[in-house]
Amino acid sequence: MSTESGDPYAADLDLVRRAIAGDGEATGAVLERLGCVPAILRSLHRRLGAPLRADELAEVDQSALAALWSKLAGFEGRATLESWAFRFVQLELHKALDRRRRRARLTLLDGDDLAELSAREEGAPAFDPTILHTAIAKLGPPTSDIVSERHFGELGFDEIARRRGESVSTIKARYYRGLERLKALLEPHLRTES
Amino acid sequence: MSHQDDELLASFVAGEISPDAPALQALFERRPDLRTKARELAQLHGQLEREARLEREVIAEARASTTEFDRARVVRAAAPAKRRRAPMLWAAAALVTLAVGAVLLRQGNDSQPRPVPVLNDAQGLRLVVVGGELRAGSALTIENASVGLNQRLKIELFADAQATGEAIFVKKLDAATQWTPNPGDLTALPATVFARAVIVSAEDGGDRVELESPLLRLSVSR
Repeated sequence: MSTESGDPYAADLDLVRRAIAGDGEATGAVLERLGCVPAILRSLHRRLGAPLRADELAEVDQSALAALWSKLAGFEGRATLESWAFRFVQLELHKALDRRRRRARLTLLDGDDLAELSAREEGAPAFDPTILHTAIAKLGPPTSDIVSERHFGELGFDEIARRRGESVSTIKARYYRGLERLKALLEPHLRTES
Repeated sequence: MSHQDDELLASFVAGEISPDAPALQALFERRPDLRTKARELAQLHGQLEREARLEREVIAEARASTTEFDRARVVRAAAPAKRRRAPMLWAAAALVTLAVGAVLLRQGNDSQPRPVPVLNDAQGLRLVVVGGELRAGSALTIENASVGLNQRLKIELFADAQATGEAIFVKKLDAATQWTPNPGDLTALPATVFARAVIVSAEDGGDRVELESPLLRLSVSR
């Protein structure tokens, strides 16, 4: 997926732009790669402990598929097409979970239901993962790119430095300062569930 | 804090050097406030690693478990948006479909019974009836039906070729894509009927038609 040149996602961005412009071949390729979206939802939901009922999950599935193509115009080439799809599905799933939490509070679920809901969410991360990529983007280039490439592009500092034509020392310093700012951005969104 | 300090701390939070590394310990002695901060950022680094690993694992698992049904649903979900983007193209496709339908309907008037691999619209939903006859024990098969979780398949029979008014017979299929009529199903039907397969939305208990095959003229054989 990635290339040796500076922008590892340029090919995906070009593909999506051609698809949106009506290129049939590009459209077919995009749809083929996005064919995994329903399976991403199933996998993510299972890893979260399957907190939604079948009808609730079906609702997320339907709304995610319905919005997928129109949201594609927002693909900016900051990740692979599959990673973009993952984050889109993750957002839809977490929105559904938030709706469920709100309903649970409003309808005063009995103690057993609340205990079950909490138990199923124990494996949830310390911060809302859907906030994460927005926060990383707020770091701005080149720091946002360095943090993304280090973690989500699986690149070491040496490789990032080589691609960017900068010293490893500079990349590391930028990464550390970027983490400092990222922590400050994420702090308000840390989960405080007891 | 110097550029070199940042580099050293980055190596620590990324797990490249041990917390006991002399250079790091010297930095913490000089700047004790950095010890807690660096530990917190190492935790954040770990959280980012876990998020990235989750993303990679889910994508790999999803790629391996994607079915043809999944792919078809994604294609179908994209179809309405693409139709809006190219109305002239779809209008042309509709004209072609109508022309093919007219030819096939005319063939249906011929007396020779033969397989009727009938009618294909742009979404691919089609109804296939061997011999062009509605006969007890002879199956009607729906092909290329991509049915979503909140959708159902039905076969509808109409008395006229324009499908005006209510269907005179409806067979709900749910998960099946085939219907084999019983003799009792045919007793109240006229000599000729017009059949179509439809995908309806089952959301909110509704029955809204979302996709339909072209109408197929069938002789009712009792």
